[in-house]
Amino acid sequence: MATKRLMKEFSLVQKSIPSDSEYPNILTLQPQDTLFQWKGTISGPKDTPFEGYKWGLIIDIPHTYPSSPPSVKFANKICHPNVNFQTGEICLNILNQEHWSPAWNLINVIVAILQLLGNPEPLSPLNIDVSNLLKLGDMSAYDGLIKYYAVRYGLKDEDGILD
Amino acid sequence: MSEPLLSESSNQPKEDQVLPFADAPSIVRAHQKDSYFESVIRSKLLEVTQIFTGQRFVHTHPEELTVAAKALYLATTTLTGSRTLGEEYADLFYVTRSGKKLPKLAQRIGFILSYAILPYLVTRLIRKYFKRSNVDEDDGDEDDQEGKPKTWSSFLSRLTYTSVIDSLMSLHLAIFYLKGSYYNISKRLFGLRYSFGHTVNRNEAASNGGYELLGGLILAQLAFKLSNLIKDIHFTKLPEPHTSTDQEKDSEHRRAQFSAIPHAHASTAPRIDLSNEELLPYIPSASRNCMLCLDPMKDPCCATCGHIFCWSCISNWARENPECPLCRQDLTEQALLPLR
Repeated sequence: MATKRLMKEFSLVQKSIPSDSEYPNILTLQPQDTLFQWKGTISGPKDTPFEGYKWGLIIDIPHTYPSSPPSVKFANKICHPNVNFQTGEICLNILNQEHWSPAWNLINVIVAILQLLGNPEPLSPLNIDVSNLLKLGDMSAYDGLIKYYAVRYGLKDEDGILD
Repeated sequence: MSEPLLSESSNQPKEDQVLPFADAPSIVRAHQKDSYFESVIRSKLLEVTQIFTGQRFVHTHPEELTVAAKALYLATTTLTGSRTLGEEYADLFYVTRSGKKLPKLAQRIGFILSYAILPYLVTRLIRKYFKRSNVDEDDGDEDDQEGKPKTWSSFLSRLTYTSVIDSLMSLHLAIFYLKGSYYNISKRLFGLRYSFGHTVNRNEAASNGGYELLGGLILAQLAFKLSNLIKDIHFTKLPEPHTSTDQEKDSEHRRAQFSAIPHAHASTAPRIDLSNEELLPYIPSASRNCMLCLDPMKDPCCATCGHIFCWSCISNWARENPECPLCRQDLTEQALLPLR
């Protein structure tokens, strides 16, 4: 079932990415050697400190998909309250078995991650330093720190897409 | 109430030298205490066996543990010649049928074996026997059709083991309530009768009252049951051939019903495939794909919230997560409604 569904999703992705204007921040999304390993590239959403830079996503899909959620990690370092700075692990409730729904697909997951970039949740942080800044409401420090790491680790729009 | 003092011992030197037989209420009280302590022992035994053999053994052998607890309790009390806690509580002890001697060891062993272990063995044997005879019965049905009605065999077939035992037990209980002598059949068998450990004032015993009314009621119930049974046999005698064909029809009907139930686990082709646009035309083309497998639905079924999925997709999901994938409303597998 997983393979069949992933085939369907692949054809859906091919149709809508990157041409579809509905998902302007999803630059690439494609399977690697198998249908159970995907890579994607997203660009920072408008009006967020991430704007203007790109990050890679590594997507591992369990064989029980879509009953179990895919696991998604950032490929390059990103400074965000809900992302582990060292490992790229993302704290997002729909990526937990408990809150996952099989009605979501990979595009929905990436849209959710893009939403998370603009709407951090400082109460369940994986990066305590930057989430403390957010909790204190020091937005200039928050934006500045994110920008600093974006310049350092993120890819510029002019760069090619991440492999 | 039977005379508490031993009347047949008139040839004995003095009547009041013989202790009086126990009355029914005291025996029942003692028995209740004993069954409480048996249950306590059983739970302790359960804990111990669980430590040594694991939870699984405990779950698969509950009857054996009960029998073991019962035997253990009686072996440590009655077998060694001391009184059980219940007997102490009501101040009773065992005497022989005549009431003049204490029961011998062989009697006590016989009682314990027949009381604790025999019923268990018999039920196991009967269960085994019935399993086999149930298999035989299927073949037997066809023979009945041409054969003439056999009243006797039909009478016997009605008498299942449990019903016979039940009526015997209640008959015995009625006798106990009326006469107050032996509470258990095995005690009657081995002549273990209870006697008070103290003399009883005649007036006191009379005021205690007895269970005669209960005994009478049980006897009346038994008589009613028996008359019903006889009536039943009498009436089914004539139309017997009809009933057997009716049964045949009934079983055929039932078989047909069963075959109509879709086999959820059969991996055969789906019965309803929505890729065929003629099927279930009221479902608009936009909603004909399952949100889970993204294919046109196969065997569509509806959740309580109204969302539709493939049968196999949603039942797999619902078994692990009892909520609708689309709206997260409660969703149980048994509440799924197949569409057709």
